[in-house]
Amino acid sequence: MSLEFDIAGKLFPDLLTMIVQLSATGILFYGLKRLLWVPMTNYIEKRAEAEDSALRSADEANKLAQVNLAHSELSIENSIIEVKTIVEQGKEEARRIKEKMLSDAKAEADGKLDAARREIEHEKTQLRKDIETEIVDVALIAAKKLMESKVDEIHDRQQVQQIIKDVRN
Amino acid sequence: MDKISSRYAQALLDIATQLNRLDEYKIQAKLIGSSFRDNPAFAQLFDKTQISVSEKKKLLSDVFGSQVDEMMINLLSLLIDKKRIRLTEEIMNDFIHLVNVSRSIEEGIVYSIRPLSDVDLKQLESQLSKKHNVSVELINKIDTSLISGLKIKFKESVIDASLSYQLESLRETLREGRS
Repeated sequence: MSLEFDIAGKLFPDLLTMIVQLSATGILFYGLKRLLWVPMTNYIEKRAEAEDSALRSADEANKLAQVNLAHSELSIENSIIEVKTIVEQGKEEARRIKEKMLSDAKAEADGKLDAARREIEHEKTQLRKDIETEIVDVALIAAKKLMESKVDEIHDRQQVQQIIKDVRN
Repeated sequence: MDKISSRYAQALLDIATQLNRLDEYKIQAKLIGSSFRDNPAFAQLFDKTQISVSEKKKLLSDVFGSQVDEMMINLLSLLIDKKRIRLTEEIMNDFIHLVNVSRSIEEGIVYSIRPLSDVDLKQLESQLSKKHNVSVELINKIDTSLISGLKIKFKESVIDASLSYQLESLRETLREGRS
């Protein structure tokens, strides 16, 4: 079985159909323009305005964000400077405290050393005095013992007689 | 001065004054006082409960009867009765002190390593009396720590003429000399 189609004939409509279709299209176009054009254009304009407004808001927000960012960066910079200053002050204070502590410790050590030296000197002096006192005491004890053995009754009586004579003077 | 002993001493002084026998009683008081002081064993006899009161009184009479007045013996007997015989030395000392006060006699103490003779004591009293222009009566006490010489306590002053004082002075001089 063979099929035959008029392909060329199918490619080109006939004139009436074409006119009808064009008329229908024109009527449709007219109706659309008449009924939908204004609302559509208003809608599109409103949409465009809304988009513009959104864009402006975004732009302003962007600008504000930029400003805020700049402020933040500035704040951060200031903070960094402040932190550095604080750290430097801290270091300086720590150095000063360290020096003071070292100075105080040295002064205290020197004081203790001086006190120890004075104490040693005092102990030496006291010891020397004690030894000298001991020597004197021992010498006197020896002298006393010697005299006790040497002083007899006759000598004592002579002493007493002399004292009795001297008492009036 | 013990209050009890001073009361007895004052009573004795009053009686001696009435009898006008102050000096005589003073000598007797010295004798009794020195007997009790120099003979502790004798003084302790009167503390013994084994000896009766009458025996103690007889002992007193035998020891002092020939040397002291009867009034003094009576006083000692009273002290035995009152169990206050141990206060005898204090009473005698207080009495001697009261007599000296009434006679304006200044008392002093002379320390020596041996008992001074009566002659030495009198000489010393005489010298001090002349020096201070008052009557002086000294009591001799023994202090062997003096080594030699005398130490006299009279009024507020002390005359230390002992060898121990000279040694002590020497010690102080040596200590001061080296310091």
